[in-house]
Amino acid sequence: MTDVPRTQWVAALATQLPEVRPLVDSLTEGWQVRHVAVPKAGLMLLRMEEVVLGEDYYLGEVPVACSRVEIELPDGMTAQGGAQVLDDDEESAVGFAVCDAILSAGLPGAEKVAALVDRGAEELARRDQVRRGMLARTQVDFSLLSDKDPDGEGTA
Amino acid sequence: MKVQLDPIWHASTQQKIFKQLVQVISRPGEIAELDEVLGGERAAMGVLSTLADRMVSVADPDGAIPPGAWPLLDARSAVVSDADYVVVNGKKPPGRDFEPRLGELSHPERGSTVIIEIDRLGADEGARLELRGPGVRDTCSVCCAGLDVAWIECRRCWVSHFPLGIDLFVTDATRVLAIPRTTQVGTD
Repeated sequence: MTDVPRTQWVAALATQLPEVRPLVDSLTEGWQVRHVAVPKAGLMLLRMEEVVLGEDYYLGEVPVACSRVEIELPDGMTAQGGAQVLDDDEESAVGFAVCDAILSAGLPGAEKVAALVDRGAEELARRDQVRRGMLARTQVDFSLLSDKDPDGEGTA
Repeated sequence: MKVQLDPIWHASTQQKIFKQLVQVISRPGEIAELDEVLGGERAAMGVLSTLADRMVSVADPDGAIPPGAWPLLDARSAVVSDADYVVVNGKKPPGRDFEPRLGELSHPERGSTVIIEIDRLGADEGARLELRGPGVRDTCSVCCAGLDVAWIECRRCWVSHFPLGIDLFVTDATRVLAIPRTTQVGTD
């Protein structure tokens, strides 16, 4: 249905947020959607490991929202999905979790979600390309600093 | 899209329950009615949903917590001797190996909180408890239908080295009563 790995579905869908909500609303009409865990949104400390001594330190806080849901169709079929996003909007996380459940279990409407994921993945690739271009412009060539100077004395 | 979540898992409900818990633990013997906010859930689950989070551990030796509620509680599952909160069936006496955490002299707050589920609180049946101590004017008498008095006898040992000890919440279907470790309990 989609070649995008599941680990990237939410990131791809996050680029298509205005379309995700109406799609989820229309697909889940008549379905039962339950929270498996209480959805949460807030600030999370981002832990990093410094490279010299390998000790942990906190880089800062990032907004995180997460959700786990279970969907039950009228015919009794069930599927679970989850999402964790860098956002403080709980409802978005719930929407992504529902999409995750629909797509992973191949529920009715999965092809529409897959199409959104594919479009999102293309958008991510485009953004990545732009970022790489921006990054490339910031690269500095330090090679001259290590060359020997004309008087024959090496640099420190 | 409407996503179902029982009322006891909503923060607004938990705030209301918490206020009631503060009230009953300040006034041992006073019974709080939680029916309006529980949405059909048992009072013990309402108390647990309010008190537990991912920072604490819960022991459930009698299987009182439905499997589907554990992810909602978000608490670690632990054995009785290591749990912050323990939920038990009050109809059965405590087992021989039932040893709740009593805390340490330097950290008495690490004593467990035990939630005992019984049939009915405050009716004129079952074990009659006479409560005395801080928060109780003179004495207070409360009946606990479906409570094995062995729990009260064991509690006497667990709280005998104050400030070490446990705090109790006794619940029926919709109500809750608190017996903190400072309360002296006599039985008929």
